[in-house]
Amino acid sequence: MFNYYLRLAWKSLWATPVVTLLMLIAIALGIGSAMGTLTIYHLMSADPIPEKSAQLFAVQLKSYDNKQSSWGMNDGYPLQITHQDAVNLSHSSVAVKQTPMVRTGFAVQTDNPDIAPILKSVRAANSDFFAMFNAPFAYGSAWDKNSDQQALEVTVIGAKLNQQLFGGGNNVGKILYFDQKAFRIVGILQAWQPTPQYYDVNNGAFRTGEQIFIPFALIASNKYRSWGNNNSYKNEEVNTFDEKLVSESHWIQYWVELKNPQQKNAYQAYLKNYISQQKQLGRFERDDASADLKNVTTWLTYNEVVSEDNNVLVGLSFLLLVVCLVNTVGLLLAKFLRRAPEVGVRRALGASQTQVFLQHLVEVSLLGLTGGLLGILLAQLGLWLLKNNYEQYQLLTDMDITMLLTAPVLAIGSSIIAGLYPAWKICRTQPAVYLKSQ
Amino acid sequence: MLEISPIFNAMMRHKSHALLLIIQIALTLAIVANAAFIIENRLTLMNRDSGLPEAQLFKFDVFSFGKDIDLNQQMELDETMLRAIPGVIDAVTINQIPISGSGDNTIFMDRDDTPNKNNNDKNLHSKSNTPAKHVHTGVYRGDTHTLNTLGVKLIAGRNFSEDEIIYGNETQPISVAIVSKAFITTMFPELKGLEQQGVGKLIYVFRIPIKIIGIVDKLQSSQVTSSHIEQTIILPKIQTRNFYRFLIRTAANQQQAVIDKVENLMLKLYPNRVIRTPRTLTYLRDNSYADDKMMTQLLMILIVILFLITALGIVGMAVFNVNRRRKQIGTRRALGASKGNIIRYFMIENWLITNLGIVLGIALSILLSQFLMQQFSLPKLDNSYIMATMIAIWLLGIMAVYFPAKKAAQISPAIATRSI
Repeated sequence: MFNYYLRLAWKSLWATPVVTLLMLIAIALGIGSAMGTLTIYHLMSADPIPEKSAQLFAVQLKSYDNKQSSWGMNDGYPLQITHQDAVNLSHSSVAVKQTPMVRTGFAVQTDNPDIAPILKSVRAANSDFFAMFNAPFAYGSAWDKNSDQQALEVTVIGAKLNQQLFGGGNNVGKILYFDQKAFRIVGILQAWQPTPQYYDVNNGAFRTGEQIFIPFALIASNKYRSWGNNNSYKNEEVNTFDEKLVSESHWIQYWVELKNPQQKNAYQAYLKNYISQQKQLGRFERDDASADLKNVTTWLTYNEVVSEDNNVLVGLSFLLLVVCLVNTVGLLLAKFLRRAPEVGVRRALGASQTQVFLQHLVEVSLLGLTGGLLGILLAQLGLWLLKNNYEQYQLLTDMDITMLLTAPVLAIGSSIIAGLYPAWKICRTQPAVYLKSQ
Repeated sequence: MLEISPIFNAMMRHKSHALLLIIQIALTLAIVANAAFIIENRLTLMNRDSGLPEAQLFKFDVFSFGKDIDLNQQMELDETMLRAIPGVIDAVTINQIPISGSGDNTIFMDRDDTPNKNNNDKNLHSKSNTPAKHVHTGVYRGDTHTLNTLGVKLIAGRNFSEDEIIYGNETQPISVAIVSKAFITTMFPELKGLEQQGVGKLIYVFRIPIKIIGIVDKLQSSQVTSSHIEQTIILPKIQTRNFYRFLIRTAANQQQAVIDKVENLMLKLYPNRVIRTPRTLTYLRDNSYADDKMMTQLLMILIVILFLITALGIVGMAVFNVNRRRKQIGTRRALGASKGNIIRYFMIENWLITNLGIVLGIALSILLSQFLMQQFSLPKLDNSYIMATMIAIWLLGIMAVYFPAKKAAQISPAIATRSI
């Protein structure tokens, strides 16, 4: 029966090619724009580390004084913490794993004099960084705790830089010169690019990540400046780097890994205790001085990684889809009703209402599927154009499997909704009316 | 004269067709009016004047990794060399580049409001009990060449003198500044219209008083998304850092030639450093406004698609009605109706539907605008956008229905005699 309906549908669609084409264009444009914007939204709001996103927490401290009614984000917490707090927190062992971090940069040279020095951005973090954020190693491993404590000049580099400097391969043990200081490579990562780059969204969540990692303690000992945001609430003049290290300037990100609620509670208690300790030293002078932990998904929403524009576009393009569907309902209604005499005869010859209804739904679904496939092509074309014309979308690659499956479901689903009314209307044709006039 | 009542009755015989078209037109009006409004807002943002001769400016970053030089001295040598390149009007080391997206901001105040904890004598701060005014300000730091390089005009006061510039790690506090006109109006609202009188006023930062010695007409800061973009200040200070940047003004037609030379000349002067790819202000502007540009382009595509779909809907409906009423049209023609009458019939029918759609659409536009205002930081929809979209939809409707109506008028009166 289904095959028969399919054949009927096929014939019917070809019988009125212009109307069919109009409907296909409407569905394809509607699905194409809805899928395009939805895909961008989906990729931007994706959980970059689903297996651990509930165990990784960004630490925020309400450390500012009473002169500000509020400072930092809307909830009164600044995004980053001070260097002195970062150092203090990293001395505790309450968190399973933890790392302060900051983006910096320097000129990179190798032993090869033919390669001109290149300026690279760098992430300074603790050795826990790699295990916390599941950075996969191709060769070697993270540096050891001793390097963290002693601020040893060791480095882990990314696959891309390894390719650029050495043409790939295992180069663990080789020396790189960062601002003319010799660093020993202890590990080389596999290709790794979390999208969005959740662990530091200050500098844009959809940038390519740093290809060089060094122990955080080097920030202080080698006086590396931040290549990210520095914010201060306090009227203090900071002239030298050493002044900055002990200042109230907020420029360090801090992440901890807490495997379960007990650990989280313990860490929160530790932070509370830390704040009261600092109060005695004259810092954290607010009555509501407190700490907050936000997990990865909360952190991304909090930082509005998906921009308002994206939300507006998704909303408007779904409204566009509604317009396309309303348009299709109108065209389908016109088309089906013109066929009423024919249906009248079929009904008189014994076809039930259900059969007529199903027959027309099959036709609508076929239309929806074709329109949907065209829509996917349109969406792909659109995404490709976006990627090639706008730098900010370079990292957002193609539709993933979820989106590829969503498209036809959305297309057929919405066309069936559009087709329900016309199909219902036509299946209620009274045979007698049309038999009379034939 | 208009046969509205029979047309309306005929329309009501196929309510669902008319209703669908009305919904479609209403939605189109609502979406297009709001989208056009967003586009216009973004275009206004993008077309703001930065106050700079953008086509003449480019910047590049210098990162010195060599430790064998005096950076202060090197910066001076660099500046002298750059200013001597043919085609260069002026050059300066500066801490941030206008409209580049990243830079320094500081809060300046109209008085020193730090409470004096050790002194109970309230008269020390007797000036006023109202809190000091805080103004978010984009901060430029540079020497006497800053104004000329930026190409901005002083409307009052004077430029820095050489002895006011504080170099490197010299510790004396900054005592003078040049500010933008918008800074004056924000800091001292009472001087609105009389901004020139801001010269000589004192402002405070880090409890340090700074005297305003000059006012420029317009100078934007680096963050184009900031609402404080027009409030800027230039401080006479050259910071010594191994990472610094140059802003260079050339004659517009010489820019590329200078850019091509810069890296080699800089490295020749001192090799142990990296020169980052020079970027023109035009490039930086495009980059900073990339999101807005994309939003406007995507919304324009959305509008075109909507108009296209709605036009198709109107055409489809008209064709359907014409075909359904072939016999009636033939009969009317046989009874003496002119071609013009037939065309008018369809035009009026469509006009009625369009109007109903527009009425519903106005309500929807306002609802959608309110929703967007609640959910996002969008301003309130201006009524003129609803008006403009209404007119566009009217015209669209008339155009879309004209050709099917004309075809209907071609139906021969003879058709009435044939099948009855």
